[in-house]
Amino acid sequence: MCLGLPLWRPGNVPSAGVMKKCTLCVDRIYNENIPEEDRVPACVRSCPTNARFFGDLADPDSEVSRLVSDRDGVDLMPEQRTRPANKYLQPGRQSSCGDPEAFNLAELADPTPTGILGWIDRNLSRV
Amino acid sequence: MHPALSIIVFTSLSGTGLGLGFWTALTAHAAPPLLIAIAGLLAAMLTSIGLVSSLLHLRHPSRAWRAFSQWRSSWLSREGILAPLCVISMVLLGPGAFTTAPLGSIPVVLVLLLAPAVILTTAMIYAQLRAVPAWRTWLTPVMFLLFGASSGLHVLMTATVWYHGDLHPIPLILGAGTDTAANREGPLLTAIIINTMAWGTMAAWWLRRDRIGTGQSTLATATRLASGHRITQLDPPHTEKNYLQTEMGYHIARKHALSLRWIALVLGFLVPTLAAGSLLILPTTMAPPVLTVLSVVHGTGIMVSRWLFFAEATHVQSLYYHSG
Repeated sequence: MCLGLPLWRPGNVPSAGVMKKCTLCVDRIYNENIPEEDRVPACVRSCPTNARFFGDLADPDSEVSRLVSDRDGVDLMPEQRTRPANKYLQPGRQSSCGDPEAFNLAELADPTPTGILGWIDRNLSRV
Repeated sequence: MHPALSIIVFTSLSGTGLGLGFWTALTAHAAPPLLIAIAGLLAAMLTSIGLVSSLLHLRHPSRAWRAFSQWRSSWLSREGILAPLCVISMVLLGPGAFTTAPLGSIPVVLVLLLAPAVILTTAMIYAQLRAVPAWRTWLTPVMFLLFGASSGLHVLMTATVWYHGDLHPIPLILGAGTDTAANREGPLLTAIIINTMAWGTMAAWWLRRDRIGTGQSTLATATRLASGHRITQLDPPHTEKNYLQTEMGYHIARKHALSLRWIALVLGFLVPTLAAGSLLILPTTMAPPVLTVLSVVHGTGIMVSRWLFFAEATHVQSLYYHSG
C-alpha cells in the first residue's frame, strides 16, 4: 500500500479489551462477489482525492512499486528500521501530470473563442 | 508511557524476590538450613506476587499462556518461561539445604543462574525497544540487575537478623573472617556498595534520558517533509484523545519528575546508606528494627524510580502529537 495519509495506528478497543489494527479490508480485497474495482481497501476506494493506492509492494512490477520508484516513495521514521509496508509518495513531483508547461491555468481563465464567437472576437480586437 | 501500577509492583517485587533468591543461594554454603528455607520461600513468594500482579493488567488473563510459545522473538515470553522455573528452584533451596552435597546443590546452582537471567529478560523487554530511546540502553538491564541485587540483599539481611540476631550466617566477600564484627561489616558494606552502584546507574540513566529525547527520530523523519527546513505542526492529527496518547504520551506523570527523582534518591539511597552505615557502630540489638525500616524505605524508593522509568519514557510516535 502506498498513500498520502497516515494509516497504520494500533487502536485499543476498550469494550473488547484487545488491540486491533487495520486489516486493509481483508473482507473486500479477496471478495469475488463484488466488482473488481471495488476489491481494494475502503479508504482507497472512497478517497475523494485519490491519494491512496493499494497493491503488492513485494512485486517489483506492480503498479504501486512503479509509483514508489517513479515518485520517490519513502518510509516514515526509517531510522526505526521497522520495514513498514506503507510507502509515502513525495508531494509536488507528480510525473503522471506530465509536462507542467502543457497545462496553463491562466489560459483556462481567459479562453480563446473559436467559430463564430472567435471571428467576432478577432474582428472586435482589431477595432 | 502510562505507569501501570501492576507493572511497577511486578518489576519491583519480583526484582526483590529474585535478588533475595540469588543472595540466599550465594550464601547457602554457610547459612543455617532453616534460614535458607525461609529466605527461599520468601523469595519465591515475592516473585510470585509480582508475576500474578503482572497478569492483572491484562484484559484477558486467560490468554496469557499464548505468550509462552513466542520465546524465539520475545523477551516477555522468555521471562514467562524462566520465571516459574526460577520460583520452583527457589522453593527447592530449603529442601536442598537439608540434603547432602551433590543433590542439595542443584537448586543453588539453578537459582544462581536463573535469578539474574529472569531480571535480565524483564529489563530486555524495555531495553530492546527502539521506539523508546530512553529505554534502549545497556544502562536499563544493569539498573534492573543492581536494584534487584540491592533490595534482595536488604531483605536477606533483615531475615537473617530477625532469625539469628546478627549477620554472620551470611558471610559475604568483605567479611569472610570468623570475627563477628567483621562478618557484620561484610554484608553491610556489600549492600552499601551495590546500592550506591544501583543509584549511580539510575542517575546516569536519568541524565541520558534528559539528553536523548526521541533520539534519532525527529518531526522531519516522522513526516519526511522538507529536509533542511523547519517543520511546524499547526494542528494535532485529530481532536479526540486516542489510545496512543493516553498510553504512550503521559504528560501528567512527567510534571513532577524532578521532585520525584529527589524523593527516590532520598528514600532509596540516602536513608538506606545512613541506616546501613549506622549499623556498623550501633549495638546488635538495634539491627532487626533498623534493617526492617531500611528494606521498606529502600523498596519504596525503588518503586518511585520505577514509576518514573515508565512515566518519563517517550515513545517516538508522540512526535506526531506535538502540535506547536
